[in-house]
Order: sequence, then structure tokens, then C-alpha cells
Amino acid sequence: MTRLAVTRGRDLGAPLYDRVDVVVVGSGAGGAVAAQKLARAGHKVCVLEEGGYYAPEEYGSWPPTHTLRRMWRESGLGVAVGLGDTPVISVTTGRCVGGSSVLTGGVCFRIPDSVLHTWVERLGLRAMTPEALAPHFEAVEQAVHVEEVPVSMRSRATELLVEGAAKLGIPMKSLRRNTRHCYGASRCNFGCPQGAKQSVDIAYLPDAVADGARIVSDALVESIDHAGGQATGVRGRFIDHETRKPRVPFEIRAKVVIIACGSIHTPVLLRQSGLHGKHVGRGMTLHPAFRVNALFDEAVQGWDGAMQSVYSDHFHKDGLTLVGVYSPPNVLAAAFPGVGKEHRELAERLPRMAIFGGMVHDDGGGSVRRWIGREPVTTYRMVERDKKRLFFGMQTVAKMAFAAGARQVILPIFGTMPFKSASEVEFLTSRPPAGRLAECMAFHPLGSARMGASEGDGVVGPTGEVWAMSNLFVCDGSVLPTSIGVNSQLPVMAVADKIATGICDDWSRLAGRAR
Amino acid sequence: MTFAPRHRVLLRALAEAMFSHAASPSSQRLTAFVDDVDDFLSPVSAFLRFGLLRTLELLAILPLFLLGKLALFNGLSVDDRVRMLTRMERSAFWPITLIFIGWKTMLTMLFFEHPDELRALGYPGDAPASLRRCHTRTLGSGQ
Ligand SMILES: Cc1cc2nc3c(=O)[nH]c(=O)nc-3n(C[C@H](O)[C@H](O)[C@H](O)COP(=O)(O)OP(=O)(O)OC[C@H]3O[C@@H](n4cnc5c(N)ncnc54)[C@H](O)[C@@H]3O)c2cc1C
Repeated sequence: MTRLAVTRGRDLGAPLYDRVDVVVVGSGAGGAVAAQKLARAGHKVCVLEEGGYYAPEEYGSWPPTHTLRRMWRESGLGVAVGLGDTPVISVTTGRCVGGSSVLTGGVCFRIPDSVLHTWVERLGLRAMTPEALAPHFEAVEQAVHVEEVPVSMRSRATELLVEGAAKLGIPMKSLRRNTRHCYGASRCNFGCPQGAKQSVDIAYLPDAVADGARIVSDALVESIDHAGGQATGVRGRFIDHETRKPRVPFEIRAKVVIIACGSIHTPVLLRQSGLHGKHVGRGMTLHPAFRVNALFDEAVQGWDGAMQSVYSDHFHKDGLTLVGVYSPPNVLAAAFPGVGKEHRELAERLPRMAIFGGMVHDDGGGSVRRWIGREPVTTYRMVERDKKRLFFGMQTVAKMAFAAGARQVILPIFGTMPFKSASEVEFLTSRPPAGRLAECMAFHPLGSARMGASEGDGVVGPTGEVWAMSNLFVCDGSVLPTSIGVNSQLPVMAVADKIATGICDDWSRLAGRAR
Repeated sequence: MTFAPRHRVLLRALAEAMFSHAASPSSQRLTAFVDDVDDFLSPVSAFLRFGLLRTLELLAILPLFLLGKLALFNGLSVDDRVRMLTRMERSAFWPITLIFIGWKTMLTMLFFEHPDELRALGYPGDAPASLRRCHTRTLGSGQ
């Protein structure tokens, strides 16, 4: 592996002014794909990233909490505040060169056809058919090396839960992931220790640099410059190494401006730049996710295999996807109940613990609002239907575990102790607990600057261009107009590839009208 | 960021109770641990840090409400602290649970990351797991 040539903004003592064809704000899944595509087409591209740059050799050798503090926004402690009877949901995103793509479990899905049909038929996004997106999915799948996880990469913990699911008539399938020579260390979310995960810092940004793109890290973009309803560039400040506060200013003029800050920060930047449309920062979906721990008699060594290797779409119509998962032991121990001796005793049973999770294909109850300081306030209201899905999902996984022979199951519900039989988890559907007692997390915030067929329906049009400002595009998860029910990295990349292809095809018109 | 001395005292008391089992963690370990927490929180936004520190201060006065004791959290015995934290975790008033879970998650991740703790949990480390698997596959494929 080689170190990517990145200009480190924190080392720049003097203001930076530049003029380029395209400026891309954010170097995550969406931004990196757009940057590579446009650089390959011969345009002068500059990528500005708020987070720092760390080479795969560095982050691959760090313990999880080092990665959390350097590469995860808010050290991984960000939340969406639950409104009404809604759980407080831990919402995590990346803040580094490569964005959240560096932190994924590597799971790769295409957007299900049923979701795309809704976009086409109900939302009028006629260009979003499965056929129209297929070449873009193919392109990104090839670039990030999507492969099926072999059965040999399943840990014993995963095998047991697959057996339990089979007894209940729930079929499991092998996941596809963007890996190359993965040996399985079950810590993908904290930086792949083998450089096996083909995140965009490995699979896309080096190509962009080879094609002349400049990547600048520690560069916080604070506003989009515009004149006469047209974007003309961006400005911001470099983050100081010592104080971690924005300091030295920069200003980049560009013919086309692409915002790819992710679903939490794209709406913040749009609003900061005077774009206050009614959809900006509204209607965000999260895919609320949960994890259930199951304790077996035998050692199941959940860490000995791919972190994620199987899934089930058996409950697709019920808005639920079940996924096998694991995490480093210290992260898992954090979810065990009890204090002192009681907690310790559970933690010491970790080698006998299997974990399985799920996520809900949710309604857009999230919103992002600017707030004092850099980080916005994120809120989320979970609809009744999704709460039922959540508790049904927990119950199903618990039953799978008991069917596989688990002695105890730990549910992600505040205040509960381990459950000892399938009948004990019946209450999840017969007398569900309050939604706010559920322990949930979200890795896929989407839709906060949604695509709409007309200006009244969304922030951007089908080409990704912002309705209210020409030559300004959004190219990240925030444009996806509904939740998709599957992991979002590949969908974000494919949509970004489509938007960037459109920009390339339309270049002479876009450049011609640039100021 | 550096914690104020009163926050360090509270964190230390919290960690001592949370991770006491056969014995409490050593004093040196607790001091190093509080530094780790400090370091972990250094990149977070001022708003989040402000919120977290206020919840820590709230924890200090909770013994009155949860145990009926007129004492600060750090003035309680380890057993009483464990009792109070257990009540917080199982409280019917969910904001109290949430405060505890927030701190517990962070502190547990940091505490159990120590190589000695990982070994005690039976974890062989990233590399051995990977190498074992790689080795098995190489043998299997006859390469
Ligand atoms: C822990 C975790 C695990 C995940 N696992 C999976 C998985 O297994 N499979 C899957 O498909 N998906 C997964 N995802 C989701 C996937 O990573 C995201 O859907 C995807 O990366 C979103 O791409 P994006 O371009 O919208 O945003 P991001 O990839 O988050 O990129 C946004 C970038 O913009 C930068 N930025 C923000 N504001 C500014 C600003 N003002 N100036 C400059 N830069 C800025 C950010 O620092 C960040 O680097 C996971 C996500 C997380 C956090």
C-alpha cells in the first residue's frame, strides 16, 4: 500500500486560493466517486475534506478507540434525539479522508428493484430505473472489488445462528463485501488491519490523484459562494492541528461545485449558504439498527471470521433485514448489562457469545438543524409501524438464538437482564416496551437533501443539481429520496457515479454558463 | 481538553465502581484510565462535551435521590456506588438510565481495550485470528 498524496491543511500556514474546474466538498463514498470520474474525464478537480488523512497502515494498527477518536465524527458519540416515544439513536459517520467508507463493515447491496420502482412510479424519478442504474452499480462494484463472503469465513458464532434461523424456516444468504484477500479479523468498523477492505481511500482516491486531482485534508468548508443564482466556488478554513479549531482561510473558485458532506452535514452547508428550501435537512431516514447477544455453552469465537458474512431478506416485505455482525471485544462488552462483578462475569463469557442484528426499512422521521457550533442537532421521530418492526426483529433474532441452543439472550432494551427462553421474549410483540427503551444505532443516514422530480418535491433534481442554484450538485447519501432497506455505501456510490457521468456529459453547457 | 479536578474525581469513582470485581483496579490504572477518557473526548464538539460533563455533575448528586444518602457519588463506598449505578441502569425513569448507559459505553470500550483485559476475556488479538485463518486456508488449498 502507498500513502496517498494529500495536502494536509493543518500544515498550511498561509491562506490558499485556487481556481479549478470542479470542487468536491467531502471525500467519502459519494465525493470520492465523483472526484475520480471527473478527474478521469480531464477536469481539474480539488477535493476538500474536513477530517484528517490516515494511511491504511496507520489506522489498521490502531486499537478501536484510537480510530474512534481520530476518524469517527464526535468520537462515535453522536446521537439523534428521539422525539415522542422514540429511542435515542446513536448516529455514526466518518470524518476523515475516505469518509464513512473507511468505517464500513464492507457490506455491499444494490438498491432493491422494489425501492427503485417506488422512486420511478410514486416519486416520478423516471431516470432511476433498475436498468438505468445497473451500469453504475457494475462500475462501482468492479472498482471496489465486490465479492461474496465464502462460507469458510463464517465464524462458529455465525454458523450457529444460521442453524437456528434454518430451524425457524428463515433462510440466510451470503453477503457480498468490498474486500480483497480478507482474512477475517472482525474489526472492519475500526480500520481494516489488512488493507483488505476496498474503501474509497484505497479504491478511488488514488486514481483521482493519478488523474491530477488534488485532495486537501483538514479543510472545513463553511459556505458556498454564489452569484446570480449560480455557484461559483466555496470558502472555509483549515483546522488547526493543536487547537482543532478552524484557522487559516481558503477559497476555491470552480465552474461546478459538488457537495458530498454526507446526510448530516450537507444540509448544514446548504443552509449556511442561504439555501433554506423546505426539504433541506428534513425527511431523513436512518435504518434504525439493533444487536442481540446470545450466550452458548460452547466457545463460538465470534471474532474468528468475517465481521459480517450472512443476511436474510426473508422479512423484506415486513421492512426488516437481518444481518450477522461482530465487533471488537471491548466494543461488545460495552453493551452487556450489569455493573462491577455482574458485568465482568458476562464479559468473561465473550468467547461463548454470538451476535446477530437487524435494521428497519424506516420512514423519514429525521431532521437536521444547525445549532451553536459545528455539529447540528439531529432529531428523529419513529413511527409506530417502525417500532413494531424493531421489536419484532429483536424477537426473531432472539428466537433464532434459542433455536440454535443459546442459554441466554441479551436484548438491547434498557434495564433488562438476560432472557432464558423463547417464551420470555414473547412480550416484544404481545406487550411491546416503550420505544425509547430500545438501544438503537444508525449507520446509514439518508435523504436529508432528497432528489425530487420537481422543485416542490426535493432539494435536487434527477441530475443531482440543486433546484435553487445552478452549477451546484449534491452527490452523497442525502439525495436518496427514501430509505432503501439495505446498506447504503454501494447505492450512494452508484448514484454518485450516475450524477458525475451526467456532469461529464453536460460539461460544455455547465462550463459555458459558469461565471 | 483537560478535565477539571472535580470531573477527574468523579470519573475515577465511576470507573472504580464499574470495573470492580474481585478487586478494584489499581490506583495507577485508574489515573491512567481517566487520562484516556480525557484524551478520548478531546476531539468532540464543545456542545457534546458540555452535555457530558453536566451529566457527570448530575451523577454526583444522585445518591440523595437513588439511595437516600446525603453524600456525593465519589464519597460513597464502592459497594454503594455499584448499588446506585445498578439502580440507574434499571431505572424506570429512562433519562437516568440513558445518562448511565452513555458513560458506561464509553468507559467500557476504553477499559477493556487494555491488552491485559482483552487477554482476561479470552481474546487472542487481531493478528492471531487472521493468521490462523490464513494459515488454515493456505494448507487447505495446498499452496
Ligand atoms: C460505522 C459504519 C459502518 C457502515 N457499514 C456499512 C456497510 O457495511 N455497508 C454499507 O453499504 N454501508 C455502510 N455504512 C454506510 C456508508 O458508509 C455510508 O452510507 C456512505 O459512506 C455515505 O457516503 P456519503 O458520501 O454520503 O458520506 P460520507 O462517506 O460520510 O462522507 C462525507 C465526508 O464529508 C466530510 N465533510 C462533511 N462536512 C464537510 C465540510 N463542511 N467540509 C469538508 N468536508 C466535510 C466528512 O468529514 C466525510 O468525510 C457504514 C457507516 C458507518 C459509519
